[in-house]
Amino acid sequence: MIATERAPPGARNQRNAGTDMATTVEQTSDPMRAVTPDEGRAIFDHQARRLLGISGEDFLRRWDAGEYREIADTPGNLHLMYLALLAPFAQQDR
Amino acid sequence: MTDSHVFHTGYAPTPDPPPSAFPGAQTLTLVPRGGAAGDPASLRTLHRQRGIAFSVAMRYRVVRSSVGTNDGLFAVLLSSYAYQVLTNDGAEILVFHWHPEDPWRPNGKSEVRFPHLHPPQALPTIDLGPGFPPVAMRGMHIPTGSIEIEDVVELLIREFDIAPLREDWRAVLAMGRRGR
Repeated sequence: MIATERAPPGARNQRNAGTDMATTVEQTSDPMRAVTPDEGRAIFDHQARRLLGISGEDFLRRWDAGEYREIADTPGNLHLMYLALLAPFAQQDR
Repeated sequence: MTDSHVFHTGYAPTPDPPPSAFPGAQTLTLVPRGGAAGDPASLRTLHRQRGIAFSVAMRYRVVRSSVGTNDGLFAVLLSSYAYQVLTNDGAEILVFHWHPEDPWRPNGKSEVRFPHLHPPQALPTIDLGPGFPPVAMRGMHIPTGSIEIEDVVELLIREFDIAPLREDWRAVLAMGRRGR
């Protein structure tokens, strides 16, 4: 079993760390909308950095390699599964 | 409960036949006010306190229906979810999961395929007395049956004293449930 890399203390609550207009909304805009592939990649990358301190691309590479396979659904690591469920944001043009 | 927006990956239907074992998985998440897509939404209680946050990831597929009067129309099928009730600093309180598919596993199947609840991390082990190993609930996958997002919203309002944003929240949740 490997140890998960965690973002620095408090990082998981940093709401605006690394965000840009691709990942945030104007509250006057449509409350539900589809994102572009570029926006999707930015969203996924932001979440990977917020939750793990690594890039979205790096998370997908590690996930594909099975590094998180045994721990993603275990206490203290549930953010891994959350992130995995968001992966289609980064894979829209695959 | 929250004025978060929703970002999603779209409505592209899954081809028939599918090109791979895991085709057409779309996803959606909340975008809280002042935050980024996927960030937990901080919730306000009836006492105007903010100690609870909520995040959502839902995977879905768009498929053509072949059932009855809906034959030929498109339908949205939920395929996985994570509903996370968190403390404001990100610690898990209750996490509802359903992730039967895992494209990264060799057989494509998740280890725990049924909908389940992860109990709070802070839950102490239960002492069964001398000679018995203690029960550690915090590591359990407790079967739940399928949980809809309306169920979690209602749980938050009823049990966590989260303030609804509208008085007719019961009717709104009932409408969401009827829509399935």
